[in-house]
Amino acid sequence: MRGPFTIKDGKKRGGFMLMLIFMMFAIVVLRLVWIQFVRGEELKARLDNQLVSKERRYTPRGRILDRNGDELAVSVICKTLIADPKMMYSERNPNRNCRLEAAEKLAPILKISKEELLKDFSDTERRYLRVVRAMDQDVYKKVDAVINDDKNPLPGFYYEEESKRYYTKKGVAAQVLGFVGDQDKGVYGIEAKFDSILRGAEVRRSMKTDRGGSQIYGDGSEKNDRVDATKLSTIYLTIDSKIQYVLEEAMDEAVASTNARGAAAIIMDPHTGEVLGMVSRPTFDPNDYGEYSQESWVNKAVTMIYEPGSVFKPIVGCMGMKYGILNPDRSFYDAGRIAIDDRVINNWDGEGMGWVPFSDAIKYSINTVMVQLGMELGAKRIIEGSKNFGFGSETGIDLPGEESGILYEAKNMWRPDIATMSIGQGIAVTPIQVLRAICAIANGGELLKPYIVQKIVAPNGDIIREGKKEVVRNAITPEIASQMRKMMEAVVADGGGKRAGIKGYRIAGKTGTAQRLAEGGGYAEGQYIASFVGFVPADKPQYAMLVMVDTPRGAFYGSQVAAPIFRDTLQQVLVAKGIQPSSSEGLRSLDHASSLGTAKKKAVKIPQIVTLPNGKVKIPDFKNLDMRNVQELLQRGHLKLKPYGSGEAYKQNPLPGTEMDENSIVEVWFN
Amino acid sequence: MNQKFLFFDNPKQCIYTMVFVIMIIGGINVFSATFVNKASYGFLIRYAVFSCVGLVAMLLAKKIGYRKVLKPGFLMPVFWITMASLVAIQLLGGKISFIPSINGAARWISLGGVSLQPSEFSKLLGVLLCASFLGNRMDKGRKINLLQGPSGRPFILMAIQAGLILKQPDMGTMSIVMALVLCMYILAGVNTKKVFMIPAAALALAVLAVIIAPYRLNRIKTWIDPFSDPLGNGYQMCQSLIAIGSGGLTGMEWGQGVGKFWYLPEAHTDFAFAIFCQENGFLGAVVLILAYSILAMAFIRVCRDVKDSKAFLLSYGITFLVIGQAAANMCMVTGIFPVIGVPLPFISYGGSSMAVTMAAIGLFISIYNEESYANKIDSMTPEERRENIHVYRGGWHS
Repeated sequence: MRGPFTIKDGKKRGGFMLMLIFMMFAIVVLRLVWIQFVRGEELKARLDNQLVSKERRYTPRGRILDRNGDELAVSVICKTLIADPKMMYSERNPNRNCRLEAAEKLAPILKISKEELLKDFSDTERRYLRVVRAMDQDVYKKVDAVINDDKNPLPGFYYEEESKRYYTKKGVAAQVLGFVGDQDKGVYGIEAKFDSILRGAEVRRSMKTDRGGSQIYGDGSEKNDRVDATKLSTIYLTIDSKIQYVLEEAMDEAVASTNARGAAAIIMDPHTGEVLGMVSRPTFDPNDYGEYSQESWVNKAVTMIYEPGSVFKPIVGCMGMKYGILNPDRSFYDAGRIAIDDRVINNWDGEGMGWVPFSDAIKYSINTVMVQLGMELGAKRIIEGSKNFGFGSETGIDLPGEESGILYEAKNMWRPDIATMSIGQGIAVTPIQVLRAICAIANGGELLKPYIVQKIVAPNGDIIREGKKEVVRNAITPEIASQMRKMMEAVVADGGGKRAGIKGYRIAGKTGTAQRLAEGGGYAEGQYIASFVGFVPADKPQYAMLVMVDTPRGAFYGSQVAAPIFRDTLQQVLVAKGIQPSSSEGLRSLDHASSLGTAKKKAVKIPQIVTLPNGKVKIPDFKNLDMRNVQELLQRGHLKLKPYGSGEAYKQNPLPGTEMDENSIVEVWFN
Repeated sequence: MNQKFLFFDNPKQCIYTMVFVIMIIGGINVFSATFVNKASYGFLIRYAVFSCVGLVAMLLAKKIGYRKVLKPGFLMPVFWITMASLVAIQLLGGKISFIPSINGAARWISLGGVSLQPSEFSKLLGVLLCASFLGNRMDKGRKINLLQGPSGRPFILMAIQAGLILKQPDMGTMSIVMALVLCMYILAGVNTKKVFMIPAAALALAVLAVIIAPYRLNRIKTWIDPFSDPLGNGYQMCQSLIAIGSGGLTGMEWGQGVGKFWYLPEAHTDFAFAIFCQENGFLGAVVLILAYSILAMAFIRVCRDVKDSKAFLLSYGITFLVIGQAAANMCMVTGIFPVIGVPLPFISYGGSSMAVTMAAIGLFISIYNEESYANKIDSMTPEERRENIHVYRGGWHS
């Protein structure tokens, strides 16, 4: 540097630096040209893209109702609480610790620990945090009061709408209904099978929103396009929730008393194939499906395969008659045991009955006679006959996960295989297969496709789909069916299934006990499956029912375990449905039957049943009431009926005026 | 100096006018950027309060005059108060209620509802310290050194403050403070080669920092291409570019600029210019830049004629403080500079920044007043001087 530095030199330097600043301004202008004109369109598109939220939401799922229109599953729109931890600060009051405040205020309402919430809220990197999904209305109200508090609102929270499924009757028909998982997707049961129909209509909303997703004030660009609104349909099931409820209770009791591993039961209309009730155990509450084991989600009535045991004997009997080698009176010699090659098959008690007519083989479940019949039929005809009854293939019911069972191929069968199959072993079936085969006997030979969806109604009232009786084939002639019905009636009236009997009703049925199939193949030692299948009334069947109890502890015979469940359930159903004992006239139409009943009935004043403040129920006088009225009254008071006889009530225990606990049994005699 | 300037009577009138115009623009912009908040008028009202505080600061500074302010007896206590505040923030930030930590940074001292940002004061303080110390040495014809001898004192003192500011952390303010101090040294005649060692050393440090912690490389990457990480590091820059880009030639309808609906953070403070560009478009931005340029030219007009060393240093320093920050902010908002927090004078919402900037304007006016009187005397004939001398005695030199 030459000479001392003067102000003049300094001004030169200053001028140079100021020029740099002006250059910066010039560069900014050029940069603005670049941003606003060259890249303007692209950036504008980005703006619109983030500004306009194109959300896909679903309107509530379609409802599922029972055959009478009772709600089983409904959907409501709930709010989901979203947090944006980065926005949790107050511009006006920087001292405020909004995160801690939010955690403290929300913890007691949401029942989440304060520490956990604070940890989540402190993660400012996360801009989208689902704090709690689909809040119930009362929770939402409390949360909203805290967040949008007039004086002290909590920043960084907003809501999203989400549809929530409610199963109004809790665990009733849980496996039939299934449940709804993430993203409105049906899992298991009807929810899964008809997901595409039930799933809410897709709503594409496009509107200008701020960062938090709220609509910008005064913005008129909101669009609500309802795409494909016809999707929101209602499904009516063939299930009768009253019957279903009775069945559920009976199975709860059965599983509790037998300590069984699982169970399944189905009630079907034998003439149409409509499923009126279907139960599987263990069970769950679809409202809280996460709390239960996955096993409980599965519908055993259509997915479990097992050996039917003696329940299969009527089927083999029908085959014999169909192939013309048998009539009910044909005599067989029962030695108590029979050897086929190296395989020895005993009767259940090891006793022989000597010369017996074939009908006794069904009635007393005689293995040796069935084996003789089976050997006469041979591999080809026994397999063909089984297929004829629908075994070895799915029934086609509208439930997911149905199994087809396991059937030998005739050419692979050894003689002992034929022998065991004729007593219901060496064949694997599902409960629904067995019941529909028995229904073919009950209805005069028609093998039906069982159905559970009565109709699907579009929002505009159109019936999209209607469940109809579908005959797959005529498995047997009406004559053979009628003869087999008589044999099966004898089972309950006088044979091995006496415990299934209901006084005053003609019931046909068959017990079955078989060793449980082990998961890895073979049999599970000491584990049995007890089942009972039957229909009532035996001459003009109204209800066909199957009960299967998987691995009961203690008693394990079908006659001991399953038959009483059958009896208790159907008794309540018959009473509830007003089916008069032993009167088989006009039974086809239930409405007809009940209207006849009321027409004939004398004018009787129906008393009130009163639940007292102490929780006890005051028993009224049932005198001169018919069984149906008594049953209705008792149901209202949560009491159980144990009826004797039929007709009008003339005697009761306990006496009128007695106070009883809920769920107690009231005995009433009718004549 | 006191001649007509552009279409103003004199540069002073121009400065007043441009400051007023830019403040009006700032008020409108702050309102537009914040009315979506729940306290819709709150920010506008507070911006108006800040403006009034700024006006008072300006008048006060003008009244006191730059010579008094530059006296060490005035300057050093102010320096130490600022220093103490910065140290207090460093030690107690987030621990006591009146020094809150907001988003992980403690920068403010909040007393009785008034939030002060001491680091903003450091910016002007650096300029004043340098003008005072270095002006003295220029007068005496002594050499100016950056780090050695007594001439290095202001640099070292301000470097300490800058270090404290960096630790807050506030990279932007630290950079501005240091840049201003360096500019002052350059003006005062320090060996430029040595001065450029400082940014060179800073660059070397930056490279080292990247080598030590490679995540910093991402910061650089997102500076060069913010859309490579539009939701992470590049978020703010992307939103800024989107806001500016969607403004086009004439901008969106007033109040319809949607960048502020939470999308663009700091929409009313450091990134106010982005909202301004969105709502007023390219034309609006050019008008604003022109306004700053006219202000700059008025400043330069005064600076050029200053004869006193201290006044010379201070006038340039204040010009850099106001105009330099404006340019730096615009460069940041448009993505030319990386995202460091620099406010746009008069436009960005912030009380401390407003008060400091306005006080600087007041000091600048006091320089103008003194120099224009001196010029007047210079241009008078001896008779006129004799006639008017009593007016000046005890006037500006008191």
